Amino acid sequence: MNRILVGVDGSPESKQAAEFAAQLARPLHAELLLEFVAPRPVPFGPEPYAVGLAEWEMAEREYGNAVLREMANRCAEGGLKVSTRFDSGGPAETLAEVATKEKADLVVVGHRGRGAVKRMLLGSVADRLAQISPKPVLVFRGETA
Amino acid sequence: MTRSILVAVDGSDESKAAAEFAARLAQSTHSGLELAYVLPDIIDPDLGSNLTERARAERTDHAHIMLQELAQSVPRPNTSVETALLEGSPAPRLAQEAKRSDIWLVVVGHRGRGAVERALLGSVADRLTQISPKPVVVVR
Repeated sequence: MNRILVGVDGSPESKQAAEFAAQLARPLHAELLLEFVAPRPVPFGPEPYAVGLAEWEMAEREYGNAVLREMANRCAEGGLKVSTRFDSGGPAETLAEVATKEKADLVVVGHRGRGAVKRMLLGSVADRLAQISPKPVLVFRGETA
Repeated sequence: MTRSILVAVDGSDESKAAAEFAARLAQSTHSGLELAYVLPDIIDPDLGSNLTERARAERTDHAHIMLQELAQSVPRPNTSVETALLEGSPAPRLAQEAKRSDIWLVVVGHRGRGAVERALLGSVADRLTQISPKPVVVVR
């Protein structure tokens, strides 16, 4: 196993998942690729809201990069090689795509993550990812889950 | 105590892929490998009772053979491979087994057998990721 892709979203469970992935990667001498996917929002509606959308995207990028920096620092302990990516789109679809593109051997995600309401309506990113990912998917459930 | 990876198998191609993935991971993490097959509880609606003794015995024999063949076929240098034949509803039974303190990871194939059951109840993998006390790897 050479490369492990980890989906992070800033939730406590995704942080635990990333730490688990780092622990797994160290003895395998694998590298870690941390990916933040900003989910596309539900269309905000006509004109007056277009500004809101641009702001939302900017805020999401800022938040995503902060999460990636924090997690990269935390995971890089012990000499682990860590890189990061920011994308926007459907989280499960994007992770599945990136797993192929970046030749990951495993994709790690938390079971829950952000967005409880959306999850109830659409199912979790983890469930969806396990269904569409061409690479093995590790679903991590936090202690509190 | 040796840490072990629990693999859910059912004779399907996906579960063979899961076993191979788990075997490689077991080797590189110095873990043991445990191949588990769950004989589902089946109630025959015509008889209104559980399977007959004979059908049950046949089913158990098949499962044992499948487990032994799989245990022989997975790559296993330096890895201890054990097999377990369990009974019950697959996902909850596997989740229960995963509670064991030596199990650190569960590996399962994405589909497995039983298209009708899957359509009605969802796949064992989906259910297992929701109830397993340990991380679950779903392999396609």
